[in-house]
Amino acid sequence: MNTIEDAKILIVDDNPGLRRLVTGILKRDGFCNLTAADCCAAAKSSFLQCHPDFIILDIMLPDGDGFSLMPFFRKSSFVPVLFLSAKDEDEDRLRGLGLGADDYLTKPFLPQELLLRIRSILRRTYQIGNAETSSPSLLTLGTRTIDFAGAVVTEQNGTASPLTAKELLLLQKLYENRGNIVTFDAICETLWGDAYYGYENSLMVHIRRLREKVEEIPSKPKWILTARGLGYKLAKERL
Amino acid sequence: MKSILRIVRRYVGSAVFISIAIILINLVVWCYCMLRFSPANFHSYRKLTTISDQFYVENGTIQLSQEGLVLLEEQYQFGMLLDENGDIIWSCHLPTELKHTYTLADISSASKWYLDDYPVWMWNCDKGIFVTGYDKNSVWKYTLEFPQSGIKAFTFALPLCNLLLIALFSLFFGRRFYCALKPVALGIEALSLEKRISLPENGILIDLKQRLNQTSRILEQQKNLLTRRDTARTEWISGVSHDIRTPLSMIMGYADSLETDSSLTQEQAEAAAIIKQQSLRIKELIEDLNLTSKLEYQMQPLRLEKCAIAALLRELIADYYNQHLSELYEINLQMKPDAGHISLMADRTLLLRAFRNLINNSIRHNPNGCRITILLSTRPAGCQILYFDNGAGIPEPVLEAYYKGEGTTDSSSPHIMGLYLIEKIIRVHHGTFDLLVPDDRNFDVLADDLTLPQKGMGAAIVLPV
Repeated sequence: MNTIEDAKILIVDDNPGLRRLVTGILKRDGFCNLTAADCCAAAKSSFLQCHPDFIILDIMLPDGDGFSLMPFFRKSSFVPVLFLSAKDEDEDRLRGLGLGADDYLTKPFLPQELLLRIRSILRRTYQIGNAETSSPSLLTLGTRTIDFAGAVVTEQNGTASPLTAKELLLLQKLYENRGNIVTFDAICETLWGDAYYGYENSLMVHIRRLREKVEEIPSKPKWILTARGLGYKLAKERL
Repeated sequence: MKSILRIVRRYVGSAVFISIAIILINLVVWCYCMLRFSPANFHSYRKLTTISDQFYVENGTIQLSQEGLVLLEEQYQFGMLLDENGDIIWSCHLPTELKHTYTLADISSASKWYLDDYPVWMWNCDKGIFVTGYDKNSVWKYTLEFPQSGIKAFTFALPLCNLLLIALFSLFFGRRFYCALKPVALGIEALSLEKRISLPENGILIDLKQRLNQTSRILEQQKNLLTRRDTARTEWISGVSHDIRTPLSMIMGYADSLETDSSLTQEQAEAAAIIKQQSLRIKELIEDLNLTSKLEYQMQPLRLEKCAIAALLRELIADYYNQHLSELYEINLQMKPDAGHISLMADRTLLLRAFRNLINNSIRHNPNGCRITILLSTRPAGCQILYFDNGAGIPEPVLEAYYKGEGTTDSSSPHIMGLYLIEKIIRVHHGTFDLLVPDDRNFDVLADDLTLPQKGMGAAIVLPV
């Protein structure tokens, strides 16, 4: 599998209309290796025949339930599984995830959400994807380049400023969620673990120091932006 | 159980009071009788001596003066005078059977009691033994004789023994009453706690126990019926919402495809967008309906965990911004000092759902945009989350319907399931939820030093720690 779109996807759902819909959504998004099954027996047979890279699995099937298929899949493979079900109870969600599924999406769903989840799981599982979303070793913010592997920020004139371990973690966290606000709590948890209370001021100090290294004018940041009262965001595009 | 002890205490007290009252009344009646029927009223030795002084001898025979005769007839029914040999030497109205000679033994016996069943009184005067009396069965004569020590014991010990006996009997019967009443009281207590009871149907309260057992059976049946009905209703709602999900997925999916289909006209694409948007709304409504029904009938398991409320609110608001919140809206989080570290035991998913409903309401009802402010502050028993926007506010009919309460509105009333759901979620966390309007005086107090909008909707949520 060279690209995400090459992934072989098995769709297991007893409703032909929904199978057709999901197949259509995936096809329009560029996925072409699609197989569909309408029951447990057909799903097992398809699984053994085509060795899918991803399975979209319904729970309520005519000859059993999706949960019972999980041990069968897991016996021979760690293929990522996404449950797509009308069952929205917490117990079902927990049971599905507890059996080793990678995600659980309840119906009705937005096609875009389904695609984003599938792509995210495939990227994570098979370590493929575009440069923006995979973990690169280099990040360019304006005139400065951050080398994650070397933990150093290099200016255009060649001046290098080393990043501390916390600054590196902080920047990686923001980068993983680039374009989105990351709350103080999520950042602090990444830097200091669960017991992060009381580190808010330390976070501000780390942000200030990081800005001094990655921003051209640290007092007027262009990249590491503050979401007042919420957290910080790494700007997606150059302002 | 406190009430039953109170009842028994009062019962014993009443018994003691009644007993003492009866003794006192008896004493009063006895005293009255003593005074009313005192011998002085029908007999006195002074009168006897006065009459006996009126005897005189004339021509060798004993005579009673006229004055003496009048006194005798006024006071007694008959009279006679005996000489030393027991012979009658004078008599007046003497019954025939008494007309005989008396021995010394007769005189000795009659001196205290009766003479042939006639109550008599005697006086030894200088003319002989003067005897007066009444008809048979007219006066009861009795002579009391007690040793000195006995009369002292009688005077002091008897009332004391009486009181002691009264107290003992009262306690004994009080305890019996308590034992009989205790299972009934325990049964009523258990009934009030919705527990099933089965009292032994015996004793003096057998009727009451039978009725209580019957009531318990009826309540149990009704409870089972209600539980079955509630379960059926919840399962029905859950089933319907489950069955709707798959077709709704297809509507949403195909509407999304049409929206992005370049071969369609702009008008058609907009129509598809509306279908998708409304499908999302139906999805929200189904989820609200399902959750409301589960919360209503306590069928939603609460997954309580330690939850930092400030972190939860930040995550919620950040999610809105990360999901491309329109620029028409602004969500602002403010925190009072120390409010940032409040943690409480809560179901995160449910709390997030409640806050999402509030924000979604503000967004849905203010299509031209609004500014939402969430203020978190500490309260003695927990925390307060003050929510308000500067939008159009809650329409009067919606407010009216909300204040009327759930289940009181008719089909023409506005549907406010979302608000009820928020209230229910807060209530299962033992908190309070109050809708506020800007002219509400409480609003200013709660908001403290915050500048409030002139219009818009507001809500105050208080959650215990």
